[in-house]
Amino acid sequence: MPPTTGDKDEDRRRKRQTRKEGVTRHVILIRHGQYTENEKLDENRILTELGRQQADYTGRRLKEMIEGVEVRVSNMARAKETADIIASHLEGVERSEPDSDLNEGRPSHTLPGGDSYVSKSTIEKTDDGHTRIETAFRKYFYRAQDPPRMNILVESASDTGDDNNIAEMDVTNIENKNSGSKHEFEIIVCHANVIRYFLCRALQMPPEAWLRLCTFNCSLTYLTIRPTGTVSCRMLGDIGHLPYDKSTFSMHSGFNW
Amino acid sequence: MFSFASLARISKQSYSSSSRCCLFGALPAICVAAVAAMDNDDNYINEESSSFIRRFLPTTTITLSESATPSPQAQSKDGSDDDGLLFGGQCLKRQMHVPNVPYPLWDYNWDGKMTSDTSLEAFRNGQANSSNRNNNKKKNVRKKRTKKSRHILLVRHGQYDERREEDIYRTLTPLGRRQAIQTGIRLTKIAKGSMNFETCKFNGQCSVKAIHVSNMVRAKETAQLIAQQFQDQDQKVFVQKPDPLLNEALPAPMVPIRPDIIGGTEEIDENHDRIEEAFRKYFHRDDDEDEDVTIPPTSSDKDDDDDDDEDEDKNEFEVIVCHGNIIRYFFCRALQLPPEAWLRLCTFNCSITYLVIRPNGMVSARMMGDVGHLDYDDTSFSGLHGFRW
Repeated sequence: MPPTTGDKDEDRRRKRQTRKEGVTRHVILIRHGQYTENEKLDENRILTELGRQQADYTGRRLKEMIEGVEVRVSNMARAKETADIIASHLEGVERSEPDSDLNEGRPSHTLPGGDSYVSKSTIEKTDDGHTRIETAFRKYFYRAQDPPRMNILVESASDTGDDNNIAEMDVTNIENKNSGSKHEFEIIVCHANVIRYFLCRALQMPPEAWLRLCTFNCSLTYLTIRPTGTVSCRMLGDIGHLPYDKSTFSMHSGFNW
Repeated sequence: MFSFASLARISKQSYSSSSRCCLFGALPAICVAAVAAMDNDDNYINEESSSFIRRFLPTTTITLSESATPSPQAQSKDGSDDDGLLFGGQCLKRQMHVPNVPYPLWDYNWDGKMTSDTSLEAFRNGQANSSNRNNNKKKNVRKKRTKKSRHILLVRHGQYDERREEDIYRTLTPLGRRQAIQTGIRLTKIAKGSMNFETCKFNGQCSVKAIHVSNMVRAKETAQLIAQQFQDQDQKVFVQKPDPLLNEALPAPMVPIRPDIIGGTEEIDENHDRIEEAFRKYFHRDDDEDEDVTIPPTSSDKDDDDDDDEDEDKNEFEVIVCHGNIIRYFFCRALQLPPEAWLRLCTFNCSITYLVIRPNGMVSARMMGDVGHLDYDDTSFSGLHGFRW
């Protein structure tokens, strides 16, 4: 996006142009399915039967939601397994190499929960986790500025947005009418702590709040990044695509806990 | 210029400063156990750590709060709009929420119901009352009932006809009605539980205590359709009297700014207090006072001396059918995030936003804007369909 000129009208005109010609990035973060937590080595911490079913439902859900997608994944067994199952449902999928920066860890201290009484090792863990996971955040969260890649472009349907009730609408509606703007979808299969941290950072909320969120297995967390840099969260921890009796938060089942 | 991004940087500085400030005296036993639970790579996940979640480690010392306090004298970017009224040149200071403790600290008494065993000191000393029981075992003292976790499911109404101004004409479209029915079905399944859970208390049944609703037609229609699904499943649920406190309006300033919204300042002035009142009314930990909820008494309400409450369901569910702006504001406030960020969220029609409030005052958001229960073809954000927009 061109830098601001100081002239408000000109800035507005440029912003509209960016919106019309630019690419909206849709980033969907998926937490892996339920896995065997009692194992020690990562290669043995793999999806349970239920976890595989969850991934399967998720693949089907994503297939109906999006097309022409890029799939990214952490370098941990349970995430790679989940990503494989999901990708098997999607056509025209680009698979990236697993990225260790997306591995689970402790991305930030937590409030409530703080850090004045934790052990040195936890602090060190957080320092490590934070650096790496913040790196991952910067790697995947940015506005599209380059020309869009042709093979994963999807033109938006030019739906008529309704601007009678502006207050309820995202900023994108008004400018999006018949704009023919482009959309890029990206799926990132990774882990609860990483997802919650990314959400806080993307929305520019204090990242120390990440543990106030709770993302179930195979939940969808969906962020849009407009070419102007505006970020919006369309869903957090969405598991409506799973039957209720397949919902887990690790070893907790259902919601009644 | 102060910005939330710079707040993030400030927080990062505080990691190193707080590690310098850490005192490594004798740790309370509970903290050691909790830390052991956190040493797992995928912490917070296993059984041990789930109880840890309810017994949070104490918060940081003053160091963090000092660095995190936003400067009230922040200059606007170009200096021209800031005559002391605007924060960062972007929104009216007087309309901004002033938290009792600076972001990102957690206010333990956020709902005014903190007790000595749920204070910051109690959490620090590992004595926070995380269990639902009242531990008062004295004789001749009336034993209080078990406190429950409150599960609140906020449902945005279905798609509605936006063409006319008067509320009575702003009724659900046929798509909106389908959305409401599908949402009702989803909620009945949650309420009913299932025999298929491998190990789950009460088969995962979630007893829905009440359905609250705003006093606007589109919400009332949605609530009725939801209630109908319960009735069709022979499940009892009680739709409460419509509450105008939950009606839609702009609840708070919007950052990033929205110059396209006309009359925003006035609408916020007219409605903010009312919406904040709604928040305080519905969002608080369980205490011993019942709200004005009309449900018939059940045997579990009786005071009994039975020590064994393992069979008692310690969780209660309530549905609130209302509106996008209200829900997003409640989400921010419940999590003690700046409510000026509310418009960074996007709640589709008939989406579910789910928050849990523990008896010790801790709050957790399990989903925001969940629409996975709707058929893809029935997904809408007002006039926009699907996700490719």
